[in-house]
Amino acid sequence: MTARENSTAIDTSLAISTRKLNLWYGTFQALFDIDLNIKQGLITSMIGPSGCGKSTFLRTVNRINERMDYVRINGKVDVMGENIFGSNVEMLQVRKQVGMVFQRPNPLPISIRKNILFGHTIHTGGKTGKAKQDEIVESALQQVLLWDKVKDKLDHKATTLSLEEQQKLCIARLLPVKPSVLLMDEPCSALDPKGTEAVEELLWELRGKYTILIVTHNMAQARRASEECIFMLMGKVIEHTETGEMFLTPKHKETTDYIEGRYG
Amino acid sequence: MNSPHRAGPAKIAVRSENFHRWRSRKDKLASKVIALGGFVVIAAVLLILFYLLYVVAPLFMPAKISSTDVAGSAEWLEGSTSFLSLEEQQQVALRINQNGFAEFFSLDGLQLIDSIELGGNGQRVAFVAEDHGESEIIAVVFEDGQSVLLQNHYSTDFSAGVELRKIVPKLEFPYGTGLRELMPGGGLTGLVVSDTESELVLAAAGSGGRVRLDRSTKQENFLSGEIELDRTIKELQVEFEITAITISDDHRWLYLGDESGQVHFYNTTTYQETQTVRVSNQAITSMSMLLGGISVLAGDAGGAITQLFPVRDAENKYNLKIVRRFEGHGAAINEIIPEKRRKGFMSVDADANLTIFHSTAGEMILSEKLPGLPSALALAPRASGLLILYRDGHAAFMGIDNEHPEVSFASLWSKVWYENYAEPEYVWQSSASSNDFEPKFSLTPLAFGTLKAALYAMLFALPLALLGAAYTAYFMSPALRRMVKPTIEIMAALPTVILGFLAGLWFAPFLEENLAGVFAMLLVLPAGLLLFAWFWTRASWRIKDFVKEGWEPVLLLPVILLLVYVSIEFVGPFQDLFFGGDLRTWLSQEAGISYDQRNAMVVGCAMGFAVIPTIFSIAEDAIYGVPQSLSDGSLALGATPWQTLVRVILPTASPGMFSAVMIGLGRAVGETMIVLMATGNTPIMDWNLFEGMRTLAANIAVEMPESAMNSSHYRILFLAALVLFMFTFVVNTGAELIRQRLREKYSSL
Repeated sequence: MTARENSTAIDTSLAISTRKLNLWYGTFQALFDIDLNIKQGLITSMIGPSGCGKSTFLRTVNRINERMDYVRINGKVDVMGENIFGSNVEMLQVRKQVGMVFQRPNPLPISIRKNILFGHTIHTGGKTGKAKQDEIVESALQQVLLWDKVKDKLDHKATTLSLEEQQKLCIARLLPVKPSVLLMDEPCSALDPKGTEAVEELLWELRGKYTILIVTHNMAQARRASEECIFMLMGKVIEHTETGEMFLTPKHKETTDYIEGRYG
Repeated sequence: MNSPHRAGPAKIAVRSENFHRWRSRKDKLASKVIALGGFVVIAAVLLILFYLLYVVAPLFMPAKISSTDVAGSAEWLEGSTSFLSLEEQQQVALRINQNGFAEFFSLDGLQLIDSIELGGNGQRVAFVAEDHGESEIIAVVFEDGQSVLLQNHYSTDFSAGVELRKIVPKLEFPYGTGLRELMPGGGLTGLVVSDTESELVLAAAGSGGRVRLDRSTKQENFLSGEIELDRTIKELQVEFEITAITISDDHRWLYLGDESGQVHFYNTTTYQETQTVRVSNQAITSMSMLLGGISVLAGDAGGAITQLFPVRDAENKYNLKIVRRFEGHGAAINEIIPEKRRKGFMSVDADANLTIFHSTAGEMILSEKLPGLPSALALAPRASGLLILYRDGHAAFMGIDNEHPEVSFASLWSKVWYENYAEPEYVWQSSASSNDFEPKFSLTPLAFGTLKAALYAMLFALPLALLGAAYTAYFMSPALRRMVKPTIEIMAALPTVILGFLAGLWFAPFLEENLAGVFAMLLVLPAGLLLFAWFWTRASWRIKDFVKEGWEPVLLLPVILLLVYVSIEFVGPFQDLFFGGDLRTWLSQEAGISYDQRNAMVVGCAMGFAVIPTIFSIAEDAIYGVPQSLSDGSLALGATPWQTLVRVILPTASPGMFSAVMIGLGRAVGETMIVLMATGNTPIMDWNLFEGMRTLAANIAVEMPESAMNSSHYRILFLAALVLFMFTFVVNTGAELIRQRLREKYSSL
């Protein structure tokens, strides 16, 4: 792929834009010619049955898939107008730009404070003063509505928190790195309804400041917590519209069938 | 998509009651069998521990004396006793009375067996001395200064059957029954006799500082084969009153004790006093040689016994040194009786205290107050029994249970001043050809050797195994990992005897020949690999596409082989330039570092090779087992794979890696075959990389077959095993505690 050819297509209002993105795991093709334009500052949800390529797409956007040597990718992915596969782009810069939250909360087995500072430390070399660090920790925890709960136990191990709090912490620790895009891979699947509600509330709170792409199995959640919705099936994008429109007047039959629960 | 499966709910299979009962019974049985298995393992380990303790315990049991009065009346007993001796079976004793009769009597009922007149022309016996060396010659000196030499012989008569065997005593006069003049005019104050293959020496001290040395050199007549004696008498006059006299077994040194507490050290070649050593402020009251005839024991009027022996200095001059002191009970030492098979001795003081000491152990073994002052004592040759004749005429026999007097905490772990050594040292030397050898049972050099071997092995193995594990688990391509891991694990199954064999017979000579090359490798390999890696990062896409990510180790193999070849083959010029042609010669001649062919470096590599698979395998599992979600989390935050490895993966895997290291260390400490074959087994204490060592485990393997069952040596080898056992136990327990803490600190979820 060449960055020059398609440079005319750059649109600054787009957070993520892909052209002809194909991906193979060995001989199995997981993504077929994905063309997507995800707008800045919106919450976009991705729905579709298991194995349709939602998570693969997410993992491609922050280049975490490439760790496996049998993964082959072609096509073009721009994040904030920059081709992430460009030869002048460092993978680390991509991951700084694109934070990711996983299905199961995965805080590191260290203190809450250190979890928040982890990303910051590895990018700055840890030369920040204590006061500045405290400020970073507080602001990140404030943003995810966790500050009041954990401010007295910042030195406790992160794994002692409840799952909901852990997931919020996982979101919070992305923030000091100052990403523009947050990818969330079924962030609520391990949480109870209350926790889910809290995280969804948080998503609305973060809306506008970050572009959020959330993969979910839960159609009700997609409907509640997103502004645009993408429906994927067997590695292909079937439909990408405003969320309300998708659930009221889907254009494709497959979408209708999926939304109505005929399969998936 | 797929048409939904429309089948109804699955039927719940109905099983018979029997089936359920059988199933729950199997369940219970299985859990019992598993519990039993665990219990048996613990029991087996405990059993080993208790068996070791059982064998070792007698070493530290205190000695015991059981005293029995000998029944029977001895009407024949007349005249005071000058000398008493007991034969090995402790059935027959010899007594020489003051009237000049040698009497054999049985201990069973105190029956007189035989009485022989020694032919002193009616003179009373003034002094009797026995050679404590092998000859067991007894010298009897009469009051007029005439002497006669005799020997007692015991044979066993089985004519009445094995059960009723009888000891038949016989008195012999190897140098004739005729009297020989020793001290004309009499007036003896001390006597010593020593008979060796080449010379017979009688030394007598008389009042007024007179010393007479009667030396007869033996010459075998080459025609008749008879021994001919060439007798010379030397008289010395000293300035002090002699209270005790003794002579070394090689007849080179004569020791005289005086009334002021000094020991005078005479050279019998020049008849000059070489040295005077003050051992006490009170008079020397008794002196005797310890078994082997090297150490002198000087007992004084204050009850202390001092051990001395001549130490050769750098100029080949002998200096008499005070080696150690044994404090007694404050009363003058009347008699010192050395044991005939060990470096122990016994003393009787003026307050009738009987005390047993051991020189190597450097301590008092046992002390017992006798009911009265003995007129004569005889110690059985194996020091297992003591016959005492009291001044009031009754006799007592004491059984002595003192199997392991040479073992004390100090003799096992501290520096000990052994005979013929210039200073106290840690020495392991358990046996020698001669009987009067002093066994040296210091476990310190063995423990040191064990730690040294383990340390060098870990030095070699740890970086390779842990870095290899980190690479394999984290960076290597899964397909390659599936080949590499089992291959390395198979290395663990390699019999260590093969590794030891290769190390001792192939690697050790190879290393000696290519020492410089091997050291060059330490520089060339890392530098070369880094250089290659740098070129690789600069290589174009075209070349890189040949090797997929995670397959780089395969690419490195030829590079490593090439670098090894280059180091070995092209080190010559550098060796010529810096080390005068040969590093090994340079080391020993210029740097003063001694070089053994089988050394710590060989062992470090060979044993390191043996522990690498263990450490690698466990550490790799630990690193691989860190949940991928953790590394994903870290990578998604923009951490590099290296940062993720160092900050997230390794800390999380640290409990497992720590276990790996500890298990490897345990294996290195207990490893036997490799160290046995590749260390040279010299029990020296030196951190030198180029010298060998002897480990506890190898020592057990080497010496167990040759140690007599239940001897001190045998039990000390078991003690060495116990030490190994305890070491592993302590290390493992400590490791487990540390591992638990690490796990608490780094456990994920």
